[in-house]
Amino acid sequence: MPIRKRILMIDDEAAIRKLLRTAMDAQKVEFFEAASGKEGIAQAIAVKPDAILLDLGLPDQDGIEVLKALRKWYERPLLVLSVRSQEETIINALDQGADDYLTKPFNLNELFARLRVAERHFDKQESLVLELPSGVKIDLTNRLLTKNGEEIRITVTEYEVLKVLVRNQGKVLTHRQLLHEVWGPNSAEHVQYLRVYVGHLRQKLEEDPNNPKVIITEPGVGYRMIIPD
Amino acid sequence: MLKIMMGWSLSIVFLSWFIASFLAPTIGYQAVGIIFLISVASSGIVVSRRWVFFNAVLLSLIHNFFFIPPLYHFEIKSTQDSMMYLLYFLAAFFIGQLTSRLKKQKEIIEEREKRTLALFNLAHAISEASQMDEVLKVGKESLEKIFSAEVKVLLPKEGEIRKGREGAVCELARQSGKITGRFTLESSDAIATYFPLLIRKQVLGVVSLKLPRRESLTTDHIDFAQALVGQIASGLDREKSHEAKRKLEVLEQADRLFHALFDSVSHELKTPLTTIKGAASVLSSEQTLSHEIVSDLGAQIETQTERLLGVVGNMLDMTRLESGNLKPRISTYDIADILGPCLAQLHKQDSIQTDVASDIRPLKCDAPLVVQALSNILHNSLIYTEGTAIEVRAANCEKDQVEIEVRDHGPGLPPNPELVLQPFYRQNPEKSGGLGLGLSIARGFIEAQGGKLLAKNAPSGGAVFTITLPAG
Repeated sequence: MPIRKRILMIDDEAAIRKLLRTAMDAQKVEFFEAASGKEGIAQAIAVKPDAILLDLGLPDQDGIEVLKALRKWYERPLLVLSVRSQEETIINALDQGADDYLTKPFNLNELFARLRVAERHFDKQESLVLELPSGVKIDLTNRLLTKNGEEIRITVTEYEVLKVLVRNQGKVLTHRQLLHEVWGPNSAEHVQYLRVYVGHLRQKLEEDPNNPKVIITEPGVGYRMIIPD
Repeated sequence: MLKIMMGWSLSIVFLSWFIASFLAPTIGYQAVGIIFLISVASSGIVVSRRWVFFNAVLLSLIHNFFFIPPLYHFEIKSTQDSMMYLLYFLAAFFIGQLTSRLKKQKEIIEEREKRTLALFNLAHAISEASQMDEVLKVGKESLEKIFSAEVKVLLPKEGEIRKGREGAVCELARQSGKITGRFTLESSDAIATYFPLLIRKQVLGVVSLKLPRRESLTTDHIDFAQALVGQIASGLDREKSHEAKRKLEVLEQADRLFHALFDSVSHELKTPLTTIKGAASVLSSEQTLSHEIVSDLGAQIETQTERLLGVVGNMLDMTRLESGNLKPRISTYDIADILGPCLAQLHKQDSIQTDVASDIRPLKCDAPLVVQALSNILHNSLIYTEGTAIEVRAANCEKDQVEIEVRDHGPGLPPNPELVLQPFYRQNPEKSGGLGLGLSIARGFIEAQGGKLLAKNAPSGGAVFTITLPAG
């Protein structure tokens, strides 16, 4: 019998834990729960889950602190749950090591999708060849970009940005994370460059650059590259 | 003053003497007495009683010495002449005193008239004054003018407590409701006089009157001052009750608004919840349900939940706006960063067409807020224009700004289009659902970032909403 996947949820709300338990049971996932930060950390150590769902609004401790404590040794996928209009907290969480986030009330399908993305990223299973709805094909293995068979010209930096996005496909990336990956540390001031390069990429990759569906903006948080189905 | 009086007296005396000398040969020395009588009588009009007496004496001496035989002697020979002399003197004296008194009476009446006029003017000015501060200012200035004094109005809250003896006397006036200080029976050694502002036996404050050193207040003056202070007090009282009335009106308005909001929220929350509860109870019942029914109920729950989320979201947004704590985080964004998330949020994307100028500049704004604002506007248009196209146009506009315009082809806005941007405004309550907050939140969010939101009716029908934001 294959070993079941284990997921740990740290959230003080009993109702939401119950809901997730039902959903996870349906997916044949072993579900563990904790109602506080302290309990969560203890459970994580005991259970060693494959992924963790962490609510940022915990009663006993600041969710970010729990995140930092976990990330000291836990390397696997970790998603944070927040409430509306908490962009700053979310950015903070992502910078502190969370893989992605969800805003309550969230769609369960979306939760599972993002969990999958995070796992794929962890297992380094991202596809390096993507075919987009606009007819553009991204081939990172051959460092090539084509549209309907014809090569598209792309600058070095544009490619670097695209590479980071593709490698993190489906996951949210904060501006800082992108800048760090492309321009190295101490590059936080170059946020405007990032915007310009993303603009160029959208021009090349999107069907409607003004209504992007591939490189989407998460307002106030960052960018996310959507994997085409 | 003395010199003037003396001057007048002597002028009258010498004038009469001159006239008498002139007429004496014709009318005889007894008739001269009548001339002097007239003179003394009329001097009462000009000079005070003392000087009338002085004139009477002087003129009788002149009469005696210069006119009654033997001339140039104070002696009077005939008894008849002596009697006449005495009688004339007495008559002159009494008439003079009488005229003097008449003059005094006239002065008193004139003074009273002046005061009544001053009182009337003050009352009028106070009745015109529309605020407590104005009443105090007008009252103070009038008192200062009438009494040429230094006037201070002391109301308990101002805390301008004068220290020491003066403060104590002032405090005494305030607590006892009696006039204290200089020229009164109470603490008359004080520098100023303190009049309590009394309304219905309650002391609102104290008015202090400090006269210049030489001047004084008679009881009459004090009564007058008290009447004036009384006017000020009733002016203050009137303004106080106006203010209380105004505050009450504001509270009543707030109360009405609260009830309207409460009813509205109640309804908007209960309506979707009723469907959700109904659907959920069917799903959790024992009966076997077809896949179709389960799907349908599930979809209904989802739709109603979205609706509920919309209402709750609006309430939260409104609270953020009203709390004054909204701090927009401004950065530079491309139009794609706004349009993308916004259109992704709305379900009926097909009826929305976008038209973005090719040279459009980036926007300096708080993206989440603009996305929410634009979302609210589009959501509103979608509801009122089922099916017809909605155009979203974005382009640069004057003064370093970027404009996002939403145009629909629906029924349009009321004749005063800006009305729709008011909180709780609903054009068609049955149709829209929601609290009527969406557009006012949109405006609040845009204006908080230094932008503008305008609502207009398009000439060809339909509504036009224009967001203007600074270009980055």
